[in-house]
Amino acid sequence: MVERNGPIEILLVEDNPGDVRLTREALKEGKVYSNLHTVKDGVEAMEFLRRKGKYKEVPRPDIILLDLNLPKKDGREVLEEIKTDDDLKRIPVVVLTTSKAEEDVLRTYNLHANCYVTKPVDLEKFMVVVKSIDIFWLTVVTLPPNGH
Amino acid sequence: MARPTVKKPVETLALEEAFELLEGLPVPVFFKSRDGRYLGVNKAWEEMFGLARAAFVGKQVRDLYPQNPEIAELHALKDRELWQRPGSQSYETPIVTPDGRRRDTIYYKATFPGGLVGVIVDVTARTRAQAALRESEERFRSVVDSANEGMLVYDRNLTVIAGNRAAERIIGLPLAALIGRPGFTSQLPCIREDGQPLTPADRPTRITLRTSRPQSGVRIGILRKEGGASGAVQWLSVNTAFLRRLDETEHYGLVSTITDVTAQRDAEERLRESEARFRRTFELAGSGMAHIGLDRRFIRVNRRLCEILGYPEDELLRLTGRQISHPDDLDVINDQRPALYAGKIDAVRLEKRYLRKDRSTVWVKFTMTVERDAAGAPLYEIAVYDDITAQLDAQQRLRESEARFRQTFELAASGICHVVDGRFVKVNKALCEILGYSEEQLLGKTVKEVSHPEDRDVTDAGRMRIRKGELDSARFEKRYIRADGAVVWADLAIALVRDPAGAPLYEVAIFDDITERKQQEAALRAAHEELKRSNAELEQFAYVASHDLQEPLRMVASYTQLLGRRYEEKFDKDAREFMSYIVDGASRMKQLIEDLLAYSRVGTKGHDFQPVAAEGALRRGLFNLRAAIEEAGAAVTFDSLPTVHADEAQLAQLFQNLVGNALKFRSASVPRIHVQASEREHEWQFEVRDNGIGIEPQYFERIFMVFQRLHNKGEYPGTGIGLAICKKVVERHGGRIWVESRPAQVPNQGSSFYFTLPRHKGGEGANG
Repeated sequence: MVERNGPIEILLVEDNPGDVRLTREALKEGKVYSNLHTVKDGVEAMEFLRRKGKYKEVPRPDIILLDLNLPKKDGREVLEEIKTDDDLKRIPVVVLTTSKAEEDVLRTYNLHANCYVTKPVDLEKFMVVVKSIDIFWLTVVTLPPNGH
Repeated sequence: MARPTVKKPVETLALEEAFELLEGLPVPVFFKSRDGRYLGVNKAWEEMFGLARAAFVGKQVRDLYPQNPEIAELHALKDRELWQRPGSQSYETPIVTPDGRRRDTIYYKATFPGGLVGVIVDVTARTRAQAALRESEERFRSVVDSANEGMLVYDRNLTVIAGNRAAERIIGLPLAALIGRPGFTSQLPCIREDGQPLTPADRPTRITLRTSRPQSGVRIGILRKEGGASGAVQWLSVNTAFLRRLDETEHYGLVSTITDVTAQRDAEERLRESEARFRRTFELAGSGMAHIGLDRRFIRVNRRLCEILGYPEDELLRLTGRQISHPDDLDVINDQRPALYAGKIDAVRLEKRYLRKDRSTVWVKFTMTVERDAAGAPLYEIAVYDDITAQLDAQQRLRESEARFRQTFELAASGICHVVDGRFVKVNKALCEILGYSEEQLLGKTVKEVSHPEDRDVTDAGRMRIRKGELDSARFEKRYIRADGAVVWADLAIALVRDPAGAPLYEVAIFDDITERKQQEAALRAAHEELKRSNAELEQFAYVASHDLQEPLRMVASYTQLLGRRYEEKFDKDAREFMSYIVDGASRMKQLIEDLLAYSRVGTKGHDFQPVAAEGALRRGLFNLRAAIEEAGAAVTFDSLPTVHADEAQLAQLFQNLVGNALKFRSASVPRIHVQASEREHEWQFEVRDNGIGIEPQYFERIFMVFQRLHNKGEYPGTGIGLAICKKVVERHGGRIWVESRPAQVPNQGSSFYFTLPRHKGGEGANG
């Protein structure tokens, strides 16, 4: 077991404030103590991850929730950059898609997202999704040994 | 008469008596003494020499021939010879009497003691007769010798006793080799006229003897080896006759006359051959032939003429040409006959018609000449007939065909031209119209001059192949520039016309103005492209729209629910009900959008077609439905299914939708669903049969349309996209889909959904 102190650092890359709020609300109801950071586009996401500009002091996220449809630099590009960056590629990425169709398209790019989640219309289902991220996280942190 | 002087009386007496006797003899007698003096002569002597004995007694012989001492010398010489060998002598000598008459004489002289007695026999008459005979014989011989006929004279034993020079020449043997032998046939290899060897019994001389009849014209061939022609034969004609003396009936020999008839015989042979040849030629000639008498009747006709005129030979020989002439051609020959007979023309040549026995008309090319005797008088006519009916028919057809061609060429709607060395040599009206030039303008130009600059060479390769004989003709689409500068598109067919030997004569090109069609094609292509683009755009639009619609939808639904969650106790019953409608509406809208996305993805996100085992695809579909199948307790069965060319995911989706549909619209009975396929000519036909509620025929079309539902959501949930997706998938694969169901007539029979897939690559996948 990896010992941890403090909350799980979550980076949510999402430009839709409604989704940001919903995610925040869902996490509130979850069991895990988390710290949610949000950025609104892909460029910001990469700056955050590489701690550039105003993100010099941010923590390294434990998990990234990545929306595909982003301004400036979209989710696919962000995902590709993360997965080809030796420092970042081990951070689990959950790709949030609007539709099943989007997910299929993404798979064809053969990018190594850890998980694809279609954002449900139903709030209850959304809650389930966020909870499943909890479970996912717990699974990850119990991974042996030297889990980051 | 004076008495000679004698010494002894007995002797004298005897002498005197002898004189008396001699005096009367008609033969000149003389006595000479030993020394050559004439002792006495008789009367006949006096008459012969014209001298009186009294005047001449005592003289010598030189006195007798004062003019001809050589005669006197001869006699003196003879006398001396006699005296050297006393006895008798005789000799023949011509003498000339003192009066100059020439006599042929024989002297008989004898010695007696004291002198000699001589008797002169005048043989002048005999000698002359002999000379005449000799002359006659020589004349005869020279005639015989100069004769062209060979002659051989045989004795009774058939031994040659004489021959002439011609015989030597003809036989080729000298007379010396012939005389004393039994004729030439025993010495040379001879044959009979029939070619068999000549036996001794065949010899004409033998035959003559055997039959006692003179032979004439007996042919004997001598086999000659010279000249290398071992078969060369010299032919002789031999006549024989008996030789008899005047007033004798018994012959004493034979004469044969021999003529060399080789040349004659060769000529006869040639004539025979020539006649045979003529006869064969006449009979077998490809042309009809006839000899026509001066009475105009056929004397002789050949087989071909009988065929041409359609009459048997015997009938034809009773007719005249005029009798069987076509009524319009009755006198065409008669019109020319006088000129032919007068020698103004060498032959009558014309074409005329005859009526055959079957009354059909035959066209004949007629040639006639006239045969004349040595004096130039006409003997008969020689006519040659050639049937030219077929030829005239062919010419007629050719003329018609040419006229038709000319008409076609001129009136054709297509432009037609003949091209030599790239230049127009013949153009029709339509081509002038297509290219906008007058005929005169076009005929000066090369084809390339009026071609569109970019299309100038498009026909070169094809025309080269035609010229090489690799192609009979070739088609092109090519642009030309009209006289007014406009571009005209032509569909062009080019062929090469060759002479009978195969040498190229000219090219024929047929032009069809396809400018309008080309424009239409271009427009159609543009419209098609536009449609494709707009379709793709529409699909893209549907995809993007339905995708982007989900964002706001989720906001509406999520926050409504969040509201309910957090503030439910603060809402009254109405607010809660309203909120439930918002959530339900959002949820249904979400489903519609998902379905619409799935539908649009059939066209935009399909995969390439591959060989797919239909059974595998079906199993995948059934796997996705396993929960529903289990829940319904359905029995799903299938027969063996073929491998088809398809997008496997879509085929699985198709089976899934159809089977899912069958499960959904089940009747009260346990669902039984069967899938099978059958082979058609060009396609596979699949059937998904159920025992569900069935579909009324009026809805057969509607059920395949997007979001068309036959039932309310309470009975059967769903948006009505399933069959629309099926239809789109099948159509993308180049197949058809339809349903058969008769719930009104046959309750509980359910429905059969059919779809087809092409057996060969088809549909969209053929492009991928």
